Amino acid sequence: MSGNLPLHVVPTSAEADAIVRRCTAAGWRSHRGFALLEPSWDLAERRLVAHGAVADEHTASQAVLAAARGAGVIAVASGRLALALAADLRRVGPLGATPGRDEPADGLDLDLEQRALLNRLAAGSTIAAAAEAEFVSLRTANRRIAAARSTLGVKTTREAVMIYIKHARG
Amino acid sequence: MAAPSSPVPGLRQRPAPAEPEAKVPLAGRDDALRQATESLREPGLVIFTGPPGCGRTRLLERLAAASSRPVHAGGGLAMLSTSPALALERATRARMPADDLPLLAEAVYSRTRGGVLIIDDLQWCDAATLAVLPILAERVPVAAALRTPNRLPGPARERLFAAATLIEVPDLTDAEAEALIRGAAPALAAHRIAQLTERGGRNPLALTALARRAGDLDAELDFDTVADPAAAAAAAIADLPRPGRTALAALGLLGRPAHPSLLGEGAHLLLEAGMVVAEGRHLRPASPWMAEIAAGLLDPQAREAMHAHLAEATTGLESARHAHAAGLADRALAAALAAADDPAAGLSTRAEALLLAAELDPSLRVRAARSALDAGRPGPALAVLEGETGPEAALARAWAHLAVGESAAAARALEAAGEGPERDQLRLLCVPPDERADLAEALRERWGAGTGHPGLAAALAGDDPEALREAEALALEAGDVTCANWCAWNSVTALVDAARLGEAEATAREAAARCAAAGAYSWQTRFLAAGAWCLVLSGTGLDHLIATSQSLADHALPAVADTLIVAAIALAEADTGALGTARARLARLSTPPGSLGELVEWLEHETAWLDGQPGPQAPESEGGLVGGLAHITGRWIAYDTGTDPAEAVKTAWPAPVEATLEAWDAARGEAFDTAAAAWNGLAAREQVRCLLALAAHTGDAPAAVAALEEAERIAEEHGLTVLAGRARRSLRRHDVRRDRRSARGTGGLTEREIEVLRHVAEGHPSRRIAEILGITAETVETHIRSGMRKLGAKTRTEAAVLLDVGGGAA
Repeated sequence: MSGNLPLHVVPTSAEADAIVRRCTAAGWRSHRGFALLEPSWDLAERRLVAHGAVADEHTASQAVLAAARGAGVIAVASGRLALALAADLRRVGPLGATPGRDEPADGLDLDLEQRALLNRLAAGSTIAAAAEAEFVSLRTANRRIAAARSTLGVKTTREAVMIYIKHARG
Repeated sequence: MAAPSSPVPGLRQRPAPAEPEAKVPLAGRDDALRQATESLREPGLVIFTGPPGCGRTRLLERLAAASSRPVHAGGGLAMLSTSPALALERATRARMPADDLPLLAEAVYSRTRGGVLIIDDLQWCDAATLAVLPILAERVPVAAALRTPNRLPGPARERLFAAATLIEVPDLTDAEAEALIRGAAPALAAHRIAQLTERGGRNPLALTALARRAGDLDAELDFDTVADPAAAAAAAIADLPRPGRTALAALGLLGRPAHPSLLGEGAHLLLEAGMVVAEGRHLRPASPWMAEIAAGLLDPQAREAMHAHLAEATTGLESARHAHAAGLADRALAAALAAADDPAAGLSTRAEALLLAAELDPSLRVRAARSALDAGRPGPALAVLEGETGPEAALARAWAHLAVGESAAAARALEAAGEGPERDQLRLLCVPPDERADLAEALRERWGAGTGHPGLAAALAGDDPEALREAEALALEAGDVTCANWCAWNSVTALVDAARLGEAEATAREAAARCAAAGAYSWQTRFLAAGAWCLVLSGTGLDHLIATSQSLADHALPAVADTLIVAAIALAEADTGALGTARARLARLSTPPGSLGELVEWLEHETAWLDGQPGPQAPESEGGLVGGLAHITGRWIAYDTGTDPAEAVKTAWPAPVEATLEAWDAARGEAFDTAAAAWNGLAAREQVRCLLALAAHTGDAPAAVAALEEAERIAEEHGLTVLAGRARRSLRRHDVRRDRRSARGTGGLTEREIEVLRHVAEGHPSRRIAEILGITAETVETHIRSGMRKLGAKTRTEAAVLLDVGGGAA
């Protein structure tokens, strides 16, 4: 249904802007503020992403309503309000998804960049080749792979690839 | 089609259910799902109920995924709980007329006809939604979920329940809980999974959250990070009615099951919601972790007030702790002293109580330190003595330093102590081995034969196990527990140094049992660790030992026990082939206590040697069994690297060490035969090493082959994988081949290639695979290359993946 609706609660507006840019690049229309005056209730087909600061309960409930109607929501909030907002948004769809790419549901706590690298390694790329194919520097690739290793609790990259493959494909 | 008998479709009075369904506990989630699917073949209402985080939403999702009819899913949202008919708008994806119930029912029906309506989170649905669901359920199958506890208005809830089949979400089964944790943390060891299940209870949210942070169980709960599942749990708990929240927080602060009277009116509420479980007359939190979170959510004033209340309601040490946390110093002190004087209290309890009391009244510090030492907890004893001066404090401090294995620091502390037999006893215990005899002589002269002081008598007994045993009995009779434990400890180390491993292990086991009975758990762990070390050295039941010792190593242990148990596990792992794990384990070990430094150093060299990377220099060593083993390892390192071994200091080695070193000096095969016989039944790994050395030194080929075959047999019998590999490699040099070539396995790969690639998948380097299989690294490389070629893989990792996916698992 709302498979990859972008739903984000972030602490700073700089982070929000970055996500909004990625959404617009993927063909979403951005809308400042959460009060949506569209006539129809269902906004799922409109590919609309509402963004802005959430500083009070009223704005927060507007943001939740926007998400329920099928709009993306990128909210800048902090403290208890951020938690309450995140809790409700999570009931609408998974938090943290960015359009254009699917969020796999295999339970592994790896991000998409890490998954992409592990996939390349499993398919026989060297780290250098994988880095080049993913348009990142060797240093970044190594950093992401190291993070994946520590997330999965293993010492070698090969073990990380094996666990990832077993979960993602098995 | 609308029902023809009713003018307003859907407003027909529903006949009351024939009888309330008897509640049969369901065996698992699949059962719950099956029951719901069954009920929803026709129009009707099914409601899943359960506490926060129990997985209601997940069940609805599974129901939706399995449905053959179109699914219209919606639900309440906490922030929009007063927004009219929102849950239904979400399900129908359209604006709904909330102010006219019949019209609303008709509007929803027209959009969901022929499908299934799913409404999550009824606890946040507005009145219109709640009122219309029973009506809709007459014409459309409706599945819903409701959290308990909730704040639905009474009449609305009754109307809803009267029309519904209620399904309580069953607890996770063992298998479900394990699958969930494995999904979130794939590399977690089995015993850790059991721990997590214990702490999280059978609650999916708690288990997922715990598994995510499994690397750091004691990490502070972070409620302010949006992505942290703890935040979701905190939000659910914050939404509980106040008495329930308070009762759950009280359980969290107590950290144990409690009588309902302690928890106030909230107890009833929690029980109804399934968040606590009755256990005899007490209530236990269904998920201890949730209770911890509830306690963590309290603001400081509320927490203090609750501690004060708990101090009132509990007794003994527990009451003292809560009074302390509530800032009631006088009361805490009185309760702690009373707890310490309670004759029924065990050693640990007494020590805890006195340590708490000493925090409030500095004059109790020495007493608290002594008590902590009796309970085998030198760390807290040292901490409480911080800044304390005087002869009594000096004695206690010396004992504590000695207990953590720092003889030099103990000797320094003694300088401030007054004259007396206890000081002399300590001097004897701290003195370096080469000066001990002289000091003992001097003391014997000074005190005569009958010192009348069991401790001094014990110290004078020195390394003689029999004399130590007598002193231990004497000390026990005199009620001096610390001294008795020291006697037992000294006799264990003396027995190990004399290479009498079997007796050492028995003594340690006996002492551990005695400490367990007395409640001196730190001493118990120390003896348990020593016992495990003896078993590993002798090569008995290594795999079993790794499993059982691991749970001991997971606890916070005093330094000596911790180092010993890590050493035991590392050696067992190294011998059984898990060299990477073993070396990483040793590398993680922080600075070992002084008395164990030599042991750890030997182990580092030994594991490096087993791993085919012998260190350039032999480990430093003095006397005793471990010193002897270090020398033997030094000989092997010298032999493998072609260097000269360090000269052994002439001391009295235990007989088998003596025999082995002599054999190395003689460098004759036959001499190793004697040495191997000396190790027989004592330490399998050393026996094997002697046989390997025999084969390497003898000129007689049949004798070498016989020795190697014997070595291979013993090594395999005891699970000494690495040494068995070494024996096989030497056998090949004598042209004896174990024929491992075999029929082609999966996809044209030979079994050997599969075996090697399986090791590659586990992350071992070729060098180590060579050691384990007893072939050369070049052969391993060849196997890997041909395996890769046959699989069409460009990298080793790809080969491992292809082997795994292609069903190479057989």
